[in-house]
Amino acid sequence: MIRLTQVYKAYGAQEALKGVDLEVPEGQCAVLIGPSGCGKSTLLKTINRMVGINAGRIEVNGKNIADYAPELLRRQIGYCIQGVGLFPHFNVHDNIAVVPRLLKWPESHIEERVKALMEMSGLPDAYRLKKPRELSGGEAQRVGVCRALAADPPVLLMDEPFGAVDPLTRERLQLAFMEIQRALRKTVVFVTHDVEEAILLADRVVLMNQGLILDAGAPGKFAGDIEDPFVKSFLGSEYPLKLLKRFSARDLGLEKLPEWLEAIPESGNIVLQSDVSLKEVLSEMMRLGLHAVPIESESGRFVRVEYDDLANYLSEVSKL
Amino acid sequence: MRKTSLKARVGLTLAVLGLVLFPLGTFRPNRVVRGIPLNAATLLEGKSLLAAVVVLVIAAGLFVFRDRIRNSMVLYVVPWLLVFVPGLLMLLLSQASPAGESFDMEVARISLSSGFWLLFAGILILQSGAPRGGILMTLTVLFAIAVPGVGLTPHLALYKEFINIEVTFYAELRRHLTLSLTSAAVALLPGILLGYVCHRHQRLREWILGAVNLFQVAPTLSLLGLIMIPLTYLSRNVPLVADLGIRGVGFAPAFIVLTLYCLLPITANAFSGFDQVEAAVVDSAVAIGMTKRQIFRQVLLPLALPVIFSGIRTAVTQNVGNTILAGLIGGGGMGALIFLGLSQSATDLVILGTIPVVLMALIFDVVFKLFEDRMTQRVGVAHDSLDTGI
Amino acid sequence: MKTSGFIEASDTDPSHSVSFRGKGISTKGIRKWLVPGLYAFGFLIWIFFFDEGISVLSPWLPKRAALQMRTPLHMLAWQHFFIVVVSTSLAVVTSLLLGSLVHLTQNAELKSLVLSVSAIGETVPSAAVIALSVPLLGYGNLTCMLALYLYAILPVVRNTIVGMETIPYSVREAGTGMGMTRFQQFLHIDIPLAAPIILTGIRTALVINISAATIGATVGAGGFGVPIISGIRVYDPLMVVQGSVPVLFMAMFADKSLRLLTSEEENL
Repeated sequence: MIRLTQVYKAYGAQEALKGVDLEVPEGQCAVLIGPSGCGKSTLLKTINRMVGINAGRIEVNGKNIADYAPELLRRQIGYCIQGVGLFPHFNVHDNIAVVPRLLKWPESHIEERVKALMEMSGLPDAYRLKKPRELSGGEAQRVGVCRALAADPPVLLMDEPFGAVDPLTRERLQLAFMEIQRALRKTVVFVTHDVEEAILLADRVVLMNQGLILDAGAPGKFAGDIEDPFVKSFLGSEYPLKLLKRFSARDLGLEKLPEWLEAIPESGNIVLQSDVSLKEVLSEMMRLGLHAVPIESESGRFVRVEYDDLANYLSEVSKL
Repeated sequence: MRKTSLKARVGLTLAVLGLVLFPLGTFRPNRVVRGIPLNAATLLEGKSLLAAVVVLVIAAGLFVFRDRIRNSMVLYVVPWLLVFVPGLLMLLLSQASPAGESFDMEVARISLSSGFWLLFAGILILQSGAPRGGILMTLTVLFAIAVPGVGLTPHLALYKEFINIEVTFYAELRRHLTLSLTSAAVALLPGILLGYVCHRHQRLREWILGAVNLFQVAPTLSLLGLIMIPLTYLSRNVPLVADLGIRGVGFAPAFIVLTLYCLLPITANAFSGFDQVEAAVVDSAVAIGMTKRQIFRQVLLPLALPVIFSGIRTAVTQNVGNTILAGLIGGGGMGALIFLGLSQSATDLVILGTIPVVLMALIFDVVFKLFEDRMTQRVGVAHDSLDTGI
Repeated sequence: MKTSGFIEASDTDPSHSVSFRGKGISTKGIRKWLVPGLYAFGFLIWIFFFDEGISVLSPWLPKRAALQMRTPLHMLAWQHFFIVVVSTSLAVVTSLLLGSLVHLTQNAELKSLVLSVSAIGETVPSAAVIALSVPLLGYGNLTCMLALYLYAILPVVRNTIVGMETIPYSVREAGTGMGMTRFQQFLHIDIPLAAPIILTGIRTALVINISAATIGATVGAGGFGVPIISGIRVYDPLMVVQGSVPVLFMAMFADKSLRLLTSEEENL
């Protein structure tokens, strides 16, 4: 659990953080978003003391981070950056093993851990002895994530880790991250400027501008009415559409919905499965020109999902 | 259509010039006298030798104009044949004597002259343009050293000088190597540390680099001279210093000056090596929680190693040359031979002292370069994260 | 009324005048030359007033044999200066011609040949080059100058070639596009842009030569090497110092001045 209280940071006359309060409960992923220069990266770096603070208090799991020696603190916090920063003279195995070795884990334990992490992040075992220069951008970042998780830290800090890859790779990395998070439930603070990424990954979206937190909440919260004009314009008027991507048809509760009674529309397309995102459902409706589409549930029933179901779901989510 | 190789043309021209226009050797009745030049014509009494030389020149000519000839064997055979020429020529010269008077061959000797050196250089240049040039050149040099080395040229001046001082020669050679290598080794650690300090502290950077540069710019002889004074004073007045064998002349001042000279290449290269490590790598090392010392040892140093090695290469090569001056202040080494030869007007002694130094410098340069390249490969370039793919 | 958006220097009022780039009389500029100035000053003081200084200090100095230098220091200074400047200037001219030739003919093999020869040449220590010049020209100043001449060619030729090569292609393209002939390009683009690198090579050669000229004394040349080497031979530290210090100043002066000149070239 991370708690920041009135954190203030200035570089000379330039104020980067003007008194920030933030609490991230254990096991949750908080995503900091905002325009360039809003202080989100700076805030992230205060947590592992890469950036010192001028005033305020930062606690991790109840303990003030100022009480630790910085090196010891950092070995308990995972850190992923956009440039990855893998050691070019170490192979993949040795890169991941850095912190466990610093913590003097036994080698057999380290080897097990490396293999497990690589499997979890979708890297073939054959990559273990490769050097960073032999890896693609996406592969390198997966190694970076493994490295951050190697010593099983309770907290994970990620600074635009998927920013430097192409959109297809980014999507794959996001999905991989979501799976890992689902399995490990780490306390994560994630920085990005991409609203869609925030919607996808966050348990809590935290919006910043000019060194202050403007608003925070579950992604669904911002689907409803937003008062602050800046927040509104930053999130964009297409926010509800973007939000649809986060949820799947399954989330609608397919068992409660009526059955599809008509013939399956002839379109040459396969019927949608229950794990598609709501955005895809809406797209299908538009493609077919209908207000309802059939979805195959897990039990094999063909369920009727209507446009109103989507709209109702969104408004429910926004009230949370 | 291959163009005629420039190196082959230049090499051949030099070789022929040397062979034809300049004296190949000089016959001296004794060590000091000026001597009678021997050129190709004088040497080649006997048609068989003449024929051999003509054949060689023709073959070389064929090689040069090989693009007009179908037979590519010429390309490969001729440079290999040329490997043996300098050595064999030395053999021939050793047996020459001008017609007419007889000489006391115990004292008389034959020096190698400008013609020989031009021929040698020409052959090397020609070989450098051929395939496997490096190997060819090395073999030529080795053969040229081997021929007198096994005693086949008893009357060659170089050989006579060598035999004269054989034991001393090896002793001085050892001393030369010791001096050059140990002073570079001693400068290594301080150099790397100073480079690290420059890397971390902007303000000290100018001072350190300026000070180290000062030692490079100052004339070696000047530094040697200046350092003799405090050392002499210390050795006369502080018994500990004298007990250690440190005097104003000899090994100690040369060692100190050479070590100071090595500081610049090593420090400057260490500094630039540390600077060029990618910021992302250092950042993640800090974020992982490594202490400064761990970062230095596990990240900065290994990644800067190729550049540092290049600095070591420069330092050692430069040292081998500078150690010659130790000979002036009683520190021994090949310089002792060179300056002795100068004072006695014995050119061959000077050459005898110079050749090992040049060869050592070249060998170190090549060997260190190989290490450097291997190291650069192993460290590799940091990953470029702007890639696509999974 | 201005028709273009550009401000012409002539039609602005004084309060908006465009300041000229380049060296004006600024105190910062002059102050940089303080250090070399000091070296030059120290040098001159030394060569002209050394003997008097010694006689003043003689009560405190250890006894030494009354060995007087046959040649006064300022004569030695002139000899050293002469040897170094003449040989280095000739070498610079030769190297510039040779380097430009190699560059203009664009012959890769020629370039490789010249660069390899100069690389190997530089591994030969300058003392050896001096010693080996004796059979060619005997003993004396000329031998030393020949050796220094040959030795100085190496760094300058290399820097000339490399300097002209590292000019970005876009600059040349602009020159060709403007209609310059190859020779005009050479004059107006290659030489000015390569100048800093060439000057660095000249500086290296000059400093090395000042140092090597001291060894010239072993082959009968004049210069500051004479008192240093004689002093070593007869164990007279004062004689050694007499020669060591001024040549040190000379080298540092040359190094510092050329560094300043090079950085000013770069700033233009």
